[in-house]
Amino acid sequence: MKLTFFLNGREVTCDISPEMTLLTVLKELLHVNSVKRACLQGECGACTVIVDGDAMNSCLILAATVGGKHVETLESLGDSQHMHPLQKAFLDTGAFQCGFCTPGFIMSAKALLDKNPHPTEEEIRYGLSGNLCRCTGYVKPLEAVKAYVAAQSDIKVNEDAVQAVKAAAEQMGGAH
Amino acid sequence: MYEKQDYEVIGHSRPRNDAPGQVTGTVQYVCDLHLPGMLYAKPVLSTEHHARILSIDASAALALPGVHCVATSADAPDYCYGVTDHDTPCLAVNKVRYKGEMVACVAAESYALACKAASLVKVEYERLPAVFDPRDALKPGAPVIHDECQGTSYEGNLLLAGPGKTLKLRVGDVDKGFAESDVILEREFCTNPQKPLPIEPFATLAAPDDEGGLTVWSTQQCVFGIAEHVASIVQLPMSKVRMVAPAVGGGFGEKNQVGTEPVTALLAKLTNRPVKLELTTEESLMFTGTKHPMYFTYKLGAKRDGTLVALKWDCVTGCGAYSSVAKLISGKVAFWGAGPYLIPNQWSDVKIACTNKQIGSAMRGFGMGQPTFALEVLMDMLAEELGMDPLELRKKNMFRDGEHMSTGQAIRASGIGLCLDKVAEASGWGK
Ligand code: FES
Ligand code: FES
Repeated sequence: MKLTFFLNGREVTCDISPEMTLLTVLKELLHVNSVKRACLQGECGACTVIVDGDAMNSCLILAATVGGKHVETLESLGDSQHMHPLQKAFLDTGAFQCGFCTPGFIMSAKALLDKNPHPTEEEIRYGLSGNLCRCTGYVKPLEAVKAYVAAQSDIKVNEDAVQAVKAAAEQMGGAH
Repeated sequence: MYEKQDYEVIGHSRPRNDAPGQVTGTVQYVCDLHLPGMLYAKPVLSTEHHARILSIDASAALALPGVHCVATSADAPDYCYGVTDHDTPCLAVNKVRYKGEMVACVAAESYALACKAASLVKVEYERLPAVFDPRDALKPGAPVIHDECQGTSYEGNLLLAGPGKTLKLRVGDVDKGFAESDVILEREFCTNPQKPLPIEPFATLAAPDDEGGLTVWSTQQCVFGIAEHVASIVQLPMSKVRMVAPAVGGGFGEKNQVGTEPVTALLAKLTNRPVKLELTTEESLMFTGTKHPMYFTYKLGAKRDGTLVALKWDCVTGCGAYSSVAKLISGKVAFWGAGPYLIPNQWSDVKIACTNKQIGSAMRGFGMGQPTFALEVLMDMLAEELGMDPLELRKKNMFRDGEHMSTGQAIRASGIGLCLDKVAEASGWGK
């Protein structure tokens, strides 16, 4: 059967059989590099992708159910020349060792932050709770997301300041 | 010598070269590799702990269109591999020795098809009595697991280590030492067969090349050591086997031995196609090794002032169904059973027993953790018995530069005193 969906914003069509999981389609047919294959049982989160805004274990989703939907993988964030600040936060915090779990962690964090840009620590912990890491543990990924949230808030404060200055300048009658 | 200096690299955080690739997802592990025409493999693992294989019927699996091969030991040359003893077949021959041992392996056009085919392979077993506790395995009348290599690698279930069959250490005179001791403690300890369980399960990709050779990508940490075994299974000279280790998704000791490489290479040879075998976590749990479980009996004698006088201990460790790194690990145990302490009289014996459990693997410390646990707990018990500060007891007996270890090795710069002081300070010991 034919399956059409959006992978990182690009429309893709592939020939699938009904029993194929989304993970199989992403790895075996589309050769997406960042998505990892491990337990195939929804235990480890290494295969996490974002489907229409929700972080999901691609090994548990039948591919046929994502027809017309938007699937995001780590490739959608940024490359090593143009990193997304969330990727940068994981890099700067050293939130990984072997890196096998990292794409899954970042995608879980992304899904959380897209919905809730200012999560509490508890919300971050909950958001990352579907991902297992055997090397680093959970403190560093948590710190990475917290650092990202803090940095984003700083930027927002600065933007507010810029707006305030602009508004003040306008009030003063275009004295710029 | 221990002065802190300002170095260019030491003492500074440096960015990891592979880090940008890790956070952007461009690093390649075996599961990310694809080759044109690649087949997917799926193993058939033993459902029995110990059994004779009566028959393997792969006809239903082979009848599925897109299934290229179902390999069994009949397709493999008569060769067993192993780090110290060649006792491990790449697919079970005549019998299975642990639940999870690979009996057959399918290669098919897709993973889903390979799974379906593997489920259709019928294996008929005749169950044999099994033994799981290494101490039971050494008792007379225990079921013998390796019938073939008796006298060479095994005697009953005892894995023969060195000329004395077991690993022995004798220093001074323990009987005299105990006679001179004021306090004697006798205790037993055991450690469990922990799984290393990296998040990335075992995986291998093997591909025939244009020059009659074979390239093998593996999740193992030290792939070169596996080349000779792959070469023997596919019957090529070692110069025709190229081993590649892409990024490794964690190992913790498990990825330190021969895994799925020989069988994947065999499938690539039989089908003349690239073949990828990726275990699931569950299969990895069944197929791969555990930390060696160990059973210790310790007897420690000391003077009232805490001076250690005599130590007698023995250890029975279970290597699981095949030898793998058991002798190397046990050598470390034999050497480390007295810890970092100077004890004039010692007697020890380490025995390795084969059981119907997963193959023992390296894990976190390569045999150092188990005896350290036992002896350090015993040292705390002794400190309590003597009414002495456990830190003082250790400092009194620890390695001193200029002395010799029980194995005769000269101690030149152990640094242990400095280390203990730092730990005591950092942990607020005694405060
Ligand atoms: S591979 Fe999907 S959760 Fe582990
Ligand atoms: S960094 Fe290795 S599993 Fe998380």
